Amino acid sequence: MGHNAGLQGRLSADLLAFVQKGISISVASRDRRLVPSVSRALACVASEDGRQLRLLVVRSQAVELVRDLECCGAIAVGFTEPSTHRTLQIKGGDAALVPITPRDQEALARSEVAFGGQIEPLGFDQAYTRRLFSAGPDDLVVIAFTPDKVYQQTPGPAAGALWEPGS
Amino acid sequence: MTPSLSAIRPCLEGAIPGIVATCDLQGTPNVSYVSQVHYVDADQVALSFQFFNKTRHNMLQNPQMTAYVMDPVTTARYRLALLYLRTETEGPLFQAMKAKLAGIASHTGMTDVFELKGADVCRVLQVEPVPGEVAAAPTLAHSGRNWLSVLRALSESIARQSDLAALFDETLSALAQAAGVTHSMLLMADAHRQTLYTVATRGYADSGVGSEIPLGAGVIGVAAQYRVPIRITHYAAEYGYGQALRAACASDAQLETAIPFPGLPQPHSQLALPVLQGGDLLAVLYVESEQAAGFSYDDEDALMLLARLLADAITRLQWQQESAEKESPPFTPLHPLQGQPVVVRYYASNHSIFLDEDYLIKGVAGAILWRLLTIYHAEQRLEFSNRELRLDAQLRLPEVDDNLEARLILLRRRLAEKTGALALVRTGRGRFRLQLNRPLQLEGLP
Repeated sequence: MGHNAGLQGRLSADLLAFVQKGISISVASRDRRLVPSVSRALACVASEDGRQLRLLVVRSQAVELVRDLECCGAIAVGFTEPSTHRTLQIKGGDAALVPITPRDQEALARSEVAFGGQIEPLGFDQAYTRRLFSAGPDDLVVIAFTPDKVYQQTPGPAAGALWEPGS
Repeated sequence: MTPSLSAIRPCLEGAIPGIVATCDLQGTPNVSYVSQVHYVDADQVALSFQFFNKTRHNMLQNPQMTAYVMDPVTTARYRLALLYLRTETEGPLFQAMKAKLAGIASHTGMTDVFELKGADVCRVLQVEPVPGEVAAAPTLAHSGRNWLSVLRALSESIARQSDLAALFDETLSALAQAAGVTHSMLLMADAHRQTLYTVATRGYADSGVGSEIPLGAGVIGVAAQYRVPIRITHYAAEYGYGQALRAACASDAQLETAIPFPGLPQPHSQLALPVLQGGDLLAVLYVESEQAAGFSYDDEDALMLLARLLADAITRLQWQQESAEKESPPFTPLHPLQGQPVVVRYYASNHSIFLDEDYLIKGVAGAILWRLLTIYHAEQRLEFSNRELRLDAQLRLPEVDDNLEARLILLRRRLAEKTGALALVRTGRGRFRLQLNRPLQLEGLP
């Protein structure tokens, strides 16, 4: 199955809201020898047409990931809401670096506030979040990709199942 | 400089789930969370295998994995290049991770969801620090425990002790004063009955000396059964003693249940350490705290070293006691006893002893006391040696149990807690006296 028919080329409104709300984002790729690389993304924003997701990553913290994405384009992105454990994984095959825009910068600022609000009740103070989001302005890169498949990954028996709209 | 795996252990406590990336043979990467990236040794970690998922599918095809872990205090981040080696579904590592996962699950509200299926052991090929802003690490003053200094003092104190009772008390006392470990206990192993009996405690309203824990029950029983330190960083009901003992009582009628286990009702941190000599379990050292995350990997290391010192000291003191016991015990003349007689009732079926109507003890310690009292009754003798008890044909002490001195400590302490009518007084290595303050009336029952 090359794509999830439920996506119909677009991500549902619920799913789009979830991935952009300022939660924990992890990104993986792999090199030619299939050695995986991984890093965290600070924010996610949908492209204006809703067909692509754009991830903000600190380049100096993700040297191998960026190299692998430029080489192979295969990407897996995990989204987890710390307060509920709700988790989705979205995969794609066309990841590429694109120029950063003011919309991306705005999403980053929103994400920091929202993510800080998520983890503060878990015992992580604002200074913790600040350190997590600190990055030089020239050190940010944007990775854009077209989602092919979405997997439900919330811990439990249904983890790993393809995501169905409305489920 | 590349940090060592042991230097990043605060990232491996499970406070923040690890991220694990894998890749299948078609080249599709996968990323998922793992509740535990558990420190195994300087070169290996074990990932908690909780669900049959894509990560598992991939690692069995392609053992190359990359993990990402974070320090919950400093925000330091590290990438670990991993090579999957094997999965363990039973044994010490599995049990240690299972217990720790129960604490993590409880803390995150996932008690019914998180269940350990296996420990996926991986070789750590590289520890790569991720650049980024990092806060200063907590100092010694913050953690409050300078273990090297504490262990030096403890080792000197342990070397000075000349009897087991003092060894137990001095050690728990030093742990409280020098390391701030306020709730602690020492339980000796009864290999014959597959139980542990409490001989010394510190920090509880009731000492609980004489209470028993069966092998496999709670963190103490699991540490004993698998001879591995068991550490839980958050309260987990299934490892609490209320639940573990209720289950155990149902299956072992001989278990000591009349003396309540003294532990905290809801410990938020628990650490049980096996005291081993060769492969044999001598005892379990147990510490607990009302604070979550009260004991770290470093605390576990330090207390395992203390358990090692205790094992050597227990063995040395038992050997000294054996070599000093040779001379025959003197006889003590009796003086007439005053007051109302205490009725000592003995039930042979479980060796339980009641003083008037109050329960005192049962099992091996109960049998020993009854034997001492019947010898006194027949011979008017009050002086005894460990050696004669060990060889006593009527007592038939379990051959595998060489902790007679520990039994006597337990008996001595129970008597001191429960009655003023009689006491056991140590008179030298391997020798003791029955001290009677009131007349006794003995009643042996089947």
